[in-house]
Amino acid sequence: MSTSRYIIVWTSAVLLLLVGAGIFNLAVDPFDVFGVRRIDGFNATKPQASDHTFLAKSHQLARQRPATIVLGSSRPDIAIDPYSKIWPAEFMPVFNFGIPGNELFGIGRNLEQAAATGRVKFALIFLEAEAILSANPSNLPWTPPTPFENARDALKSTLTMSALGASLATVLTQRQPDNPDLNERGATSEAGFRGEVRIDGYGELFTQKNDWYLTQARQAARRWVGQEEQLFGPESPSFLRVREMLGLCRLRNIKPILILAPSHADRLETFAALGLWPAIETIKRGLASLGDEAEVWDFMGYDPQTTEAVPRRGDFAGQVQWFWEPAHFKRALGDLILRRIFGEPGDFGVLLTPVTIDARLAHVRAAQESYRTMYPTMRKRLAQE
Amino acid sequence: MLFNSYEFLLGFLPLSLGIFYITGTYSRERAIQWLIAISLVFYAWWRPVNVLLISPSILVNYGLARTMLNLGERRPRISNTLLWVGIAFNLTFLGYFKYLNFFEATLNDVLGANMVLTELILPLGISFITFQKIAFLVDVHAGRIRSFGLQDYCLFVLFFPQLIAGPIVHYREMMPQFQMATCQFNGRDFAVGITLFFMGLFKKVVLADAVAPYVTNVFASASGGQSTSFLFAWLGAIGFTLQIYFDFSGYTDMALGLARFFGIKLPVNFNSPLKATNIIDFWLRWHVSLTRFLTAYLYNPLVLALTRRRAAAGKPAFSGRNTTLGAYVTLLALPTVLTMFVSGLWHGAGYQFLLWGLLHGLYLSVNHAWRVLRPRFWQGPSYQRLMMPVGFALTFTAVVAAMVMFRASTVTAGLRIWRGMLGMDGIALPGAVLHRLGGFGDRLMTHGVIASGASGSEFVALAGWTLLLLAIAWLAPNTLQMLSMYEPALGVKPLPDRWVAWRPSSGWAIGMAFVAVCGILSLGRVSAFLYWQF
Repeated sequence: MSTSRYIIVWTSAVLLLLVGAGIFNLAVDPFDVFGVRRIDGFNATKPQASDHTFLAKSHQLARQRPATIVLGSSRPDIAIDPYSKIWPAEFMPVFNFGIPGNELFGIGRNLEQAAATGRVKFALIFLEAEAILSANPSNLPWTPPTPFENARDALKSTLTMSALGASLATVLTQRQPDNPDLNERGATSEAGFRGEVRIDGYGELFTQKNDWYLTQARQAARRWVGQEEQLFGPESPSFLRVREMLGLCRLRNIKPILILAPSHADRLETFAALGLWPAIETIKRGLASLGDEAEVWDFMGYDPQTTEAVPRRGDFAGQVQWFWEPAHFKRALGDLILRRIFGEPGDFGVLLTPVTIDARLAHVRAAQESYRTMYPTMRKRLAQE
Repeated sequence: MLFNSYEFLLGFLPLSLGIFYITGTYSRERAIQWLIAISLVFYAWWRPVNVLLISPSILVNYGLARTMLNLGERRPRISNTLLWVGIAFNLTFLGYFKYLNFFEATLNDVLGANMVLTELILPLGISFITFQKIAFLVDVHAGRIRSFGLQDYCLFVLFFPQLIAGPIVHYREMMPQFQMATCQFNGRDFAVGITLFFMGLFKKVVLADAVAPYVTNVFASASGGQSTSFLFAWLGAIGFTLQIYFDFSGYTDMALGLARFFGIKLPVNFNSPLKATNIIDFWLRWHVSLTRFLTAYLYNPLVLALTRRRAAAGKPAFSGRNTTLGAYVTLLALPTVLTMFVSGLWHGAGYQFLLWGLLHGLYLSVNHAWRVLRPRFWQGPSYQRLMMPVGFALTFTAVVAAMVMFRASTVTAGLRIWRGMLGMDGIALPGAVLHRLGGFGDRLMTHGVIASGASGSEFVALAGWTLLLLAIAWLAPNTLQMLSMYEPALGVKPLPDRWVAWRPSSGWAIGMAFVAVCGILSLGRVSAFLYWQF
């Protein structure tokens, strides 16, 4: 073969392969960027999109234009079901914009992005204590994507190796039951956790995650213990950012509902052991002081749901009803939160106001004491750490 | 502009080549001027100020070289002085931008001084460009270069395929090629060029960049003060050795391919160094153009001067098996350690690079001593049979151990990894991995392996990529071997292993297209070549 012919064959093969890869990626749409039709057995579940949540959800949001937006971290991402029957009609359609690892300023950006769609009427903002403890003020406000950025996203989703790998993985793992799926309304399924529990058991999962959260909480403790005013005092950047977010909601006629998400008592005990309880209470006081600016719900306490006993390590049969691990609660608890917010009476969760705050803090402290009496193991383990 | 970027591959390269070939059909001279112009654009792309910084240095070097050329052999003393002025100028230029902060920080450390460190813009590729300019001055002074003009000199210094990170070239091997170049499209050169370029791109963006994040995590954890357990330390060290090999040799292949598009062959830089069976062999395969430069312009003159001094003092010179200890130390170990010290310093302004250089100086000295001593007590076929595999394993281990310092952000972080490699911080496996091993995992735990909280998937990815890259580095033929029939680099001779020999055929075209597409599809993430920082 002559070299000229070699170059022609090579160039044709390169173009064919590139076009082939692009078409395949477009058909599978592994990150749900284009909203291509989902076909059962081919691309109906999108496990790879759940690894690229921001990219996927940004494009889903632009397509869905929802009436209600759920904001926060991976906890609402997994536990709040946009299709739940509990949502009142005026809240529908709901979009879950929870982004794993999100902190306060990132949540603020997501609110700005969602508000820019022009249709949002309600915002459920999961302002977890952790999101405030790890707040990053250098996370700048949102700006609309430029045509260049949109083109880059399209390119990233069609003509890259990661997209091709994701497409292949999507197609090949359609029948795997432990595949997490990111549905069209932005919610990640619980399949990933279900798989982890089946392999490791709740006991192992709680132990591993407790260790990890302890490391994270240590960092927060180094930064905030004794610095509660700087964390969430009236002049703190985090508190001002919350006010800014509420200001945006007022401007765009969005009703904000702020939610302090539930954590398992294991995790609350970790915060307390590291001296972070005053910080938690400062956050709660700060949110309560918002008064009429927002409806604030506190689910961060010692309740029958959050103090549920966890099986020992190696016990693969034991179950936990409300939590997957100390931070991530199940959809069952997510539904309970929605029920409470939408008016169902009960003891789980309290509406925080300047009037209720002192009683709530006192109640949680008392519940904390009685929990420690009933379950001294965690406290002892943390003391040893 | 990175070779592995969309703007280079889809914009700069096609435009540069297209205009070069079209211009070349009308005027060779104009095509060469176009090549210089695009080389300047390439250099300025990253930071336009780079051109302003490097231009005066080019003009000064050109002026000194022209003056030396004009003086010829008539005024040797002035010519000598000009040479030393040129070398001092280049080293000062390099020293100011690259080493001023290191020098001041060292003074602060040692003397407790309180000098304020200033943020300087390091011109891109300054270390490579400086060496090339020094070599040029020395060659002019020695009469090895007898004629050149400003255009020739600019082309030699600025030729963009090798401008930033080599291979380090000599004027006398480049200019005859430029003078012979037709500056027109040549199917054979283009076919070889695309093969080299895309194989290099594949090595960089598919192989090196795949292992990079996992290696980074191991070294970042050591930099953060955390101890590194045995397996992580070894995987991190081997992973980095493979990363830098595929990164730098990939870059070199791309440079060779780019130069070939213009009808130019660059010298060899890598020849499967991880297959080396001793450390001398390693340095004849790893960054060959640097070894060649340091040998010709530092090591050899040093040995020559020392030999003359010893001869004048009536002391014996180096003489194979009968070498005395004094001759070995003075004429071999000392120049070797000094040369590798300079090599370490050249690579980076940091104690860890000096330690890396000194280590290699020590390795080479031991290897040389072994070559002198071994024939006295061990000869015959059993030596080859036994020492080939032992030497291979020893060399690989020594190279990996030294690479830890090359990668570590500080000497302390490097020492932490070494501790881990020696097993001083225990043997641990991520709990998730250990528990999945079932009974075998339990047995490991009874033998002292502990479960750590490290990510199991990250450990598996690091181990998997390391093993795959090791297999490629050890078992696969290298690019030069595959293309040996078409002289992919200067002086490469055809090899008899025809089964791996690239040739223009449909099979190779489709195979290479697949390699190219893998490379192109992996361009999404921005990742600079490791050697661009030097």
